[in-house]
Amino acid sequence: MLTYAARALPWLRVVLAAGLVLVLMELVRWNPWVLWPLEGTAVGLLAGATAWCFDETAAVVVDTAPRGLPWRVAARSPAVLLLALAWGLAVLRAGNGVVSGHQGAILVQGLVAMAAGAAFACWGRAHGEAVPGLLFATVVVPAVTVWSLVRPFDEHLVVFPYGTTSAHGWHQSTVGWTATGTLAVLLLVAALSDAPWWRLRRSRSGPRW
Amino acid sequence: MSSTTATGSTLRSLARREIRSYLGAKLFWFGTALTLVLDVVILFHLDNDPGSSGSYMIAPAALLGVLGLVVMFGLTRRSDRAAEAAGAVAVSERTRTLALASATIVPFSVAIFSFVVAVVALNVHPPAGYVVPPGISNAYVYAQMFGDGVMCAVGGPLLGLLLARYLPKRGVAAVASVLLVIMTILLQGGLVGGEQPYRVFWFWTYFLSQGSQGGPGQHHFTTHPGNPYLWVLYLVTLCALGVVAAVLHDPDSDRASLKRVALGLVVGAVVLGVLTMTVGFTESVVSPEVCPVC
Repeated sequence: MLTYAARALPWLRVVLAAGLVLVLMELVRWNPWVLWPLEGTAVGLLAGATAWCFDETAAVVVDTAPRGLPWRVAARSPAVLLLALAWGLAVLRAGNGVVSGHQGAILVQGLVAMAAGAAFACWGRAHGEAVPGLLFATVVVPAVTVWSLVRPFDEHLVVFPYGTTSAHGWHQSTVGWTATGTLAVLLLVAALSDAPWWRLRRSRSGPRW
Repeated sequence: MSSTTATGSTLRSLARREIRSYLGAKLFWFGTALTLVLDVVILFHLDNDPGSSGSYMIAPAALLGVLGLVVMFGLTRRSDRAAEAAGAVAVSERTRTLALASATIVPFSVAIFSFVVAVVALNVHPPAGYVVPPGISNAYVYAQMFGDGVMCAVGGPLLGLLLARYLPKRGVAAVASVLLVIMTILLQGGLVGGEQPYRVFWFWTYFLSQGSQGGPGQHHFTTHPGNPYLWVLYLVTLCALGVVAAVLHDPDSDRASLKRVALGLVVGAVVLGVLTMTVGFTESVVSPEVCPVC
C-alpha cells in the first residue's frame, strides 16, 4: 500500500497545494479585512486538491486489477491527511482574534470541502471515469474563488461569512456546511461500498470510456 | 477564389462555432446567471447598499472575466486536441486562435448589458453622499466601471487563450485564476502602503473605493491615484497585445510582422500605463464623510 501511495499520488502537486493553502491563510492573517476572500480560495483549493488525489491516469489498467476502489482510496488517503493537517495548522495559526472567534466554523469549511472533493472524485472513479478530480478542480477552484470574492446574496445565503457577518449568519453557514459534509460522506460511502443498485445501473448503461 | 477569401470564410465559420461553444459552457452560464441576478439586485436596489451600483464591476470581472479565463482555456485545449486528431490540418493555428478570440464577443455582450444596467441604476438610485468624493465626476465613475467591468470580462478569456497557447498544462487555468485573484487583491491601492501608483499596470484595480485605514465604521471612500480614462485605453491595448501574442505562437504565422506589431503594442501599453499614473489624477481625494456601512 505504501509503495502504491508513494508512486501513484501526485505528491508534488499535493505539497504545492498544501503550501499555497498556508500562504493564503497567512495573507488572511496579515490583513483579514481586505484579504478575507482568500480564505474561500483556500477552501476551494482544498476541495480541488483532494479530488485530484483520487485521479487514476492508468485507470484502464488499474480498474481490472484485483484490488478494488476502497483499497486504492485508502492507499491515497495520506495525501488527504497532509492537506487536512495543513488546513488545521493554517486555521490554528490564524487564531481566534482574526477569525472573530469562529475557528471551528472555518475548520469545518475546509474539512467539508475536502470531503466533497473526495466524494465527487470517488463517485466518478466508481463510474469508470479516469480523472474526475481534474475536471472537478478545474471548475471548483475558480468558481469558489469567485464566489468568495463576490459573495453574492450574502444577506440570505452565507457561504463564506466575514468579520461583519452576524452570529446568526455564522451559525447558518455552519449548518449549511455541515449538511453538505453529511451528503458528501453519504456519497463517498455509496461510491466505496459499490452498492448493488449502482452495479445494476452501471451494467445497464455499459462502459463509460 | 483567392486564399484570403477562403481564410476569411473559414475564420467566420470557425468563429461562429467557437461562439456557440462558448455559449455552451456551463461555467459561462453560471457566471452569467449570477451577474444578471446581481444586476437585478442593483437595479431595484434590493440590497439597500448605497454604493453598490458604483462598485458593481467586481461581479462581471470575477464571474465573466476570471471564469472566462477557465472557459477559454478549455475551449482552446479542445480546439488543439481536435486539430491534433485531424492530423494534416487544413486550418492554421492562427485562424483557430483568431476564431477563439472572436468568441470573447459573448462575455463582452453580457458585460456591456451589465454595465448599462449599472449606469441606469447609478442614475436612478444615486449613491449616498459619502461614496463619491467632492470634485469627482460621473464620467470618472463610469470609466472605472467600464474598465473594471467590461474590459476585464474580455481580458480574462483572452488571458485564458494566451495561457492555453503558451502553458498548455493540466490545472494551469485553476492555478492562474487563484494567482490572478491574489495579485488583484494585493494591488488595490493602500494595502501595501504608498497608495501603489504602479498598480494601474495590473489588469484590474479600483480608482474609487473605501480606504483601508481604520476598522468597520471608520472608513472613508477615497480615490486612488491614477487616470481611469487612460486606463481603459491601456486595457484595450493589453487585449490587442494578448491576441497578437496568442497568434504569434503559431510557427507558420508571419512572425516578423507580428513581432513588430507586438512591440508597438508593448510600447503603447507602457506609455499609456505611465500616462495613467501621471496625467490628471495623481493625488487621492478623500470623501469627508465616514462610510457608516463599510
